[in-house]
Amino acid sequence: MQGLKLALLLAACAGASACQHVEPWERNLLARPDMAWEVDDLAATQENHTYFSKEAAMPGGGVGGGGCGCN
Amino acid sequence: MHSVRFKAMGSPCELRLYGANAELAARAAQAEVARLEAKYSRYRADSLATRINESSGDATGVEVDLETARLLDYAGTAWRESGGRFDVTSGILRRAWNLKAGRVPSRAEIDALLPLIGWEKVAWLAPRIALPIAGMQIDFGGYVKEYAADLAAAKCRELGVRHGLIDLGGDLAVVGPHPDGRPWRIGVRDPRAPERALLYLALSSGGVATSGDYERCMVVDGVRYGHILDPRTGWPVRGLASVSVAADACLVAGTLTTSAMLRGEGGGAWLDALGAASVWVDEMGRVGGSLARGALPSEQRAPLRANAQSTAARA
Amino acid sequence: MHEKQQRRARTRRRAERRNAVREARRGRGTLAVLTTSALALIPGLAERATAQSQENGWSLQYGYSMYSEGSIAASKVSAGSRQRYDIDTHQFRLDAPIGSHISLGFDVAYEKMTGASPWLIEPNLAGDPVVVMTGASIVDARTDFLGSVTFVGEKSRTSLTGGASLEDDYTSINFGFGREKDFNEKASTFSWGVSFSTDESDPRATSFTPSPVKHKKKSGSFSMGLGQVIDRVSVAQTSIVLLYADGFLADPYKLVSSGGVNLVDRRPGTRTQVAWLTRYRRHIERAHGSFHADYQLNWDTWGLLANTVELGWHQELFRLFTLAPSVRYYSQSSADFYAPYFAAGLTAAQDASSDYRLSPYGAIAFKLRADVNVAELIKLPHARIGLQYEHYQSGGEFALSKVGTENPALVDFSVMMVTLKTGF
Repeated sequence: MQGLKLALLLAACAGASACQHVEPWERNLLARPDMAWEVDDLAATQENHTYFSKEAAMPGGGVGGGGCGCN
Repeated sequence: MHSVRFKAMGSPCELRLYGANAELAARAAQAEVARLEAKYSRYRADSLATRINESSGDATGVEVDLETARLLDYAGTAWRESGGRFDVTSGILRRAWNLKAGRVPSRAEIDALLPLIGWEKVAWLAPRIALPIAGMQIDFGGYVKEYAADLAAAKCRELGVRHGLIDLGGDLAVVGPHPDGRPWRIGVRDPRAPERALLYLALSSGGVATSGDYERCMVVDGVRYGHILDPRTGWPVRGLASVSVAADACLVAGTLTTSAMLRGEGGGAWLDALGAASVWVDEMGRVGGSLARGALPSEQRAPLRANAQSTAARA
Repeated sequence: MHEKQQRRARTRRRAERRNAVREARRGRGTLAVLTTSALALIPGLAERATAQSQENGWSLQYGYSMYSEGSIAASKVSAGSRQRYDIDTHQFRLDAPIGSHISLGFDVAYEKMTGASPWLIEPNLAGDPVVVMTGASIVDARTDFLGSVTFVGEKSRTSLTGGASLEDDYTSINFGFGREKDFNEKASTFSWGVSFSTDESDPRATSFTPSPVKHKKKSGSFSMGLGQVIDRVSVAQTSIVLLYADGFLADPYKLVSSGGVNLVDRRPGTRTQVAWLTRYRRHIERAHGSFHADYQLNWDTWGLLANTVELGWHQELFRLFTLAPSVRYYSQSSADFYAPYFAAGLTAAQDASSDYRLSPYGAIAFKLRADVNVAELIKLPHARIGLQYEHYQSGGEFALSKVGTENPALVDFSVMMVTLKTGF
């Protein structure tokens, strides 16, 4: 686990060299609701469940719950 | 630590900043305060505030910039949320209530001014503001000092300063805690013994504003008249001796202290019900508010100067 | 006389306090409303205020969605109802922070499904595949519960989840553990998690059920991801999920046709799936809007390969609401054991499925979403109304590589959704 974390940290740093240093107080735009990974939790859960029951691919966003809901 | 004292917006101010960039940041913050004073002071003939006020009676009004538009939007919100008590058009009452003259105005003098007061009478549709009745005035003084404290703190952070405190005449905005992570210890004055601290608040972010009836008042025939004037009646409001509020922004804290003072007796209960972080003292000397409950009683009545790192209400 | 005055003053003071409290309750959102109004004025306040509200606020969400499948073309059906599924879903979610270090979450979803579903596919006289649908009488309901506890640290979040999904004929119980850790002054976030689920299907015996026998399935997943602040206006995130399932993975309600003989749907006893998801968000200050891009690659041991791309634009309008059009493209290859129908001589040992979900196809979906901030209007913190419409169309012609024979049961659907959220 430790090794994995280190590897990820290195990957992040390599990636981060392309990134600017953004101070915590400069992140107000990133905190906007329209910048969220999911703008609406419920809608995202519902969409993922629908795609999960109609398509072969599993949603990668992390689906809570399970169930078939197949038809 | 780099400390600068100066006078701005009619109050003694102090910046305390840590770090390599502290000096530069202090200059930039001071310049920011000076910029806002020049733009919004109603005492300056060349200010935007004066230009707006001189246009009163002219229905076309004045076109304002984005910052002013947002300040006016904020004034509208504060007016609504305070039930019409926080009103930027009420400054004109000072014509009748000249506290230095020590004279209580007559009912007729006040009543003559009331028609000129009321945010609802202002024609504000961004970017144009018009004061439809000749003689009406906008006074940014009720919240621009708090706003300036927030902006000065933001300016310091922008320049890389992470630890510091902005104090504009008792309106405080935290840049960040002390370099070792300790919060700023902020003394709240005892309104009836203003040289003493009633209690201390610990603050590492956001801002604190204080409003007290000891700041500017006059006593005529044994009756105390404060500077907190109700725009709806034109008379000073009594009930609270002082209120301090801590919030995410000094601007918000200041709006809440003013609104609470304007509610008189009910101000403390109003703040408590809002869930605001406050400490208040009423005219009977009773202390209340969510911050008072957590404060250390042993520190009460300690001399303010000796160990205060800042004073919330220097007035 | 003096006493009377004092009493009167006391009564007046009490009345004033009561009034103030009453007014404050009415305007309970005052603090939030003023802070929101100050956001536009003070740089950096948004982040501070968001961090605070996330710590302190309880919130309640409700969602209602109407999902409706287009009816299947007459030329593609040989028997049964042409009316496909309609699903009504109600969702509730409560987020309840207890102190500043623990947060509880409760989710309940209830959905009711009615309609007919594809039963088997057989060739018509011309050799084209056509669907035999079940009768339109199926009515089914599913209830989903999920509880979570999150331990919030200075730079990390650890959560435990437990949930169940209940249907008449299907029960699933799941547990999960997840951890997020911030580093690089919170410019990067590493997350990982595991989850486990055990499912049992107990198919109803109807005239359309080929194998009404109890079956079990177990699955476990591992995921990890990395989020990164790129600059003051953009962030990216990449994550990978591995899912292993073991047990009965077929569809007990489906048949396959082999040379005119109908056999039950049969699939391998294990499946390993991998999903790799990358997301990007960028705010354009001049336009007061944000660009969203998501890409997902899926691969599994059944021979399926899928690509998903979703692009969206979230436009803020009049500081009051956000309008967000987006488009989603999806394409998948087929499973190794899939065929629309099979030649005669399929043995009981061979895996075979004609499920349209395992067929090669592509899909394109258009969505339009509106989010209205009503916090100031109704004076409740974070109060918001969301409206969303989606139209989804699938077919062989949308696939990335050419599809020989399109599965006739491929579905088109539309979803209308309303979500309400409020803090308190």
